[in-house]
Amino acid sequence: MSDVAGANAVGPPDRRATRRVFAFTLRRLLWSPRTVVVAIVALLPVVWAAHLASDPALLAARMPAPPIGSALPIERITAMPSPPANAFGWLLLHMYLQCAAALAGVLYGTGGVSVAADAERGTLSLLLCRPVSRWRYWLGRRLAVDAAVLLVTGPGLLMTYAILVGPAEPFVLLASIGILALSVAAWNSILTLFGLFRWSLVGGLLFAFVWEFGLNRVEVGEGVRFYTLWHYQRSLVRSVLNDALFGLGLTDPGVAAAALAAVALGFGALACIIFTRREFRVA
Amino acid sequence: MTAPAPAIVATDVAKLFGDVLALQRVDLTIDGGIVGLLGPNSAGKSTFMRLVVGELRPSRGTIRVLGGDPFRDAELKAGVGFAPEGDPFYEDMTGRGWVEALLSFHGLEADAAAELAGQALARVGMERLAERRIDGMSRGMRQRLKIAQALAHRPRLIVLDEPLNGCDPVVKASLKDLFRELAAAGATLLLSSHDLAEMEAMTDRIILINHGRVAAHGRIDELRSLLDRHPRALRVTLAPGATAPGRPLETLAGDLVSIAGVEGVTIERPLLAVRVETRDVGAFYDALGAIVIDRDLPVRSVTTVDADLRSVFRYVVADLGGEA
Repeated sequence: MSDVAGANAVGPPDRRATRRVFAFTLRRLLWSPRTVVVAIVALLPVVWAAHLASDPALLAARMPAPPIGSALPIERITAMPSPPANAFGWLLLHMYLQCAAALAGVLYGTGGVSVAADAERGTLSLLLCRPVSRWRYWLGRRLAVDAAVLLVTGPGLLMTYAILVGPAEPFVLLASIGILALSVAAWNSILTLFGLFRWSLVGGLLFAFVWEFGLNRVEVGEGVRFYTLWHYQRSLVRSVLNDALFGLGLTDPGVAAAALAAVALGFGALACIIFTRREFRVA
Repeated sequence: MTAPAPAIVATDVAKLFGDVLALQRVDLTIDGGIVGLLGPNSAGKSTFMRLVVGELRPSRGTIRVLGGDPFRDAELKAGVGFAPEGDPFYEDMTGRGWVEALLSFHGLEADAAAELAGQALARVGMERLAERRIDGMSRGMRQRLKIAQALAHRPRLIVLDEPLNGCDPVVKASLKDLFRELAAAGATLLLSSHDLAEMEAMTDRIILINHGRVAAHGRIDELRSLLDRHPRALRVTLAPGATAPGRPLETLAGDLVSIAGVEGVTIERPLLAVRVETRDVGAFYDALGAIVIDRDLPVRSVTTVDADLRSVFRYVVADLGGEA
């Protein structure tokens, strides 16, 4: 190779840049202590599933009972989920979507691995002074966060499915993977937006475990829960996994999916616009 | 075939951070060779460098790097290398891994990135040390690693913020040689430093920045000659064991003070010298020759003591009402 300055300056690799950034970021995210923490949380439901599967009575006990005096339409009764699918849906909602995936999103999208942390560390300076357009850099980085969350939580979800449901109901598996992917995209759009700013870990934790958890657990008004992702996740899980026995306070699954997709795209685009226009300075 | 665009063209550039004016009215063209960027702390040196590499956008004016807008045009960054101040590393990576990872963003496949990384690390004397994790590296090693990643992709413009900080004298000498080699090969190097003597050893082309303004730029001797408000300082040193009758230093000082243009004379007894401040260097040298012969003074040397970078810097900053 020539020794002349600039002679070997490699041309713009823009078309491959997203893949490069994705691979680099994913490797860094997965090879971190965060992965151990999330993996442990993601494997806890597997243990729980094994416990439930060991005793059919435990599974049956998890089936919801209709409210006293209610009259179920016949189509609801015939569409009731099997006890294993019902238990799997419960674990998907409470242990994966609202716990493991949420925690993974906070740990991979905010704090020490966030854009803000890279800016403070100074590493962002070196990453951005490469022939990679900012929006491609952002896309690669963002997709890596999504992939990291799915790769760490996905195996546990598959094992839980295999233990509880098995091959008899493949739609349950496909639906749950779809719901997980859509939820992760929506969660990460918001969390990576936090990650553009300082104190992003605090912001992410407050969002995940105060805003989302709090508004759905504390009675602050019926309409407030519509401002949470949790509501739409629950609507999807309950509906798609045939667990919407009474449909109380739930949103139509199509609307719920559209709401999550809108959050994913809207907040994702907002974060991308901010990233491409913002000046990041070493503190 | 058209000539390549200049490395850096700044036109009326100003940069505001909130209400703080970090840079103002910067008009510069930089192309080829080594250019030193000097100024006190918070003068605006790093801000200018970060504007050049596209990390920041000017609040006013334009900055063109290799013919493009560095904030918007990602492509031009293939020709730019940057080593910022501080420790911009992922501490858990090895030095080689870090350089190779950054090279991969240039579109290089793994083997090509490894080859270029190896060459760059060898040029800064880090070929073997680069297998270490960065958190186990000394400050000097980190500094060299930063420089290696900045030049690994053979950029045309290399921007280095305080590149010699933390390096031992041997490494400093080798890095200075490397910078000269790169400049000789056609690269433009923009270097900042607090160490004026070190900068002077690398280049005589400087940009002085103070309070966000370019106080002066050009060759050191040109800048010095522009500073007519300040008399030139010279030192006349006698040979050790001077045998002139009486008190030679006092005799010499008495004669020198009568030369036209001389504004001050100071005896520097430990140096066996007389320091003179004059506004007419030519007249001083003419008169000095006659004095030396008449008095039979054993003069060992006559040196200019304020044409160095430190003096230029001090004068310029003082003229602007700042502190050097």
